[in-house]
Amino acid sequence: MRKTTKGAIAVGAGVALLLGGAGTLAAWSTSTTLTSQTVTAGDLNLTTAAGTWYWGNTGCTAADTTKTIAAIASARIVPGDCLFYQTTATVTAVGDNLKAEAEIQGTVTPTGGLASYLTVSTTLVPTTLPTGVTQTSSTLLSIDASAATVPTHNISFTVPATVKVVFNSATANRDGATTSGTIAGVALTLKQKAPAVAP
Amino acid sequence: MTGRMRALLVAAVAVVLLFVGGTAAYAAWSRTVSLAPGTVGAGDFGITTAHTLNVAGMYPGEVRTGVLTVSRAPGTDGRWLYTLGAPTISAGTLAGQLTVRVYPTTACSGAVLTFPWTVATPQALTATPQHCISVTLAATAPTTVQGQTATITVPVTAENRSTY
Repeated sequence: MRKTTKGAIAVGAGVALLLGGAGTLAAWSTSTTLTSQTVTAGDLNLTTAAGTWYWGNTGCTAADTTKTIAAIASARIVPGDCLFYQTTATVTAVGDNLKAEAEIQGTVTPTGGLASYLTVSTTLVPTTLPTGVTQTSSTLLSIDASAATVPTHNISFTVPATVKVVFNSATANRDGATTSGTIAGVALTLKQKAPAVAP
Repeated sequence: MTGRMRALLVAAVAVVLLFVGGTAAYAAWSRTVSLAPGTVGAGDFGITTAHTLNVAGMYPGEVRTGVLTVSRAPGTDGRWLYTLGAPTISAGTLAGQLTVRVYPTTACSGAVLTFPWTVATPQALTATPQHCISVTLAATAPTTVQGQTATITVPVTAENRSTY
């Protein structure tokens, strides 16, 4: 037998062996399907109701809610007067790990001829603090929704947002008489804080 | 690739990843609402006085009375205090023969006010406090003052107070 013939026979035998080997790869297997789940985002929202003006109480520490100013445009305030503009802000914070801050603009500068005789300040102070809410300062609330009821982690509460206006009682002569001052654009902000652990 | 180069490359990739991760961590929800309290207007301040005293043609020993009314202009807010100063009589021979008295109310009797006198409690904007004023020409006035005239002045000053 020639050498080439012997080689061909050897290759054929090898292929036959390999084919036989392939037939032995059959094995048990199983599979399952993962049921898709719904992922729901949390929420962070802030709304405000229409505001109301009140005269201040004795000592000017808070609004006297029995003394409503029906139309601020018609009021004619005088030195020593103290007024409060009050609205109710509704804060919603939902999220397993959501942290946020609610803040009212602390420094307010009025405009107009009366501006230099007015002192304007703000507060954001709830009557009662819900679980997960901390009063950081008179204008700032820290919110931690993870501290709210499990599993919803939902904090929703209302808080009076107040703007206090005082007409300087030391205003001399008739300074500022018949002028006006505009208090506008007082920002109330609800902002998510960066998570403690980066994703 | 040498070990040193490999280490540098790993470090560079790590820095890039940190930058990317840091940027993503600052994305956050926020919402801002603007409050618009509006415009407040200042009032004004001024007082007016009126009286019903008529001292024309008095004779010695006669007493004339009238009512002094103090009021404040409307159209504003605020309360007010007022002070009555000592009455003055213009210079002249008649001045020394006249006596002016002011009483706490419209009743021309009882204790007279001592000056300066300031009302104790702030007056409401619309209040119109009144006082009796009496003028007496001395019974002993000489005939030389006959036909003479004098001007009697009661100074009234007012000060603003807050609305409440």
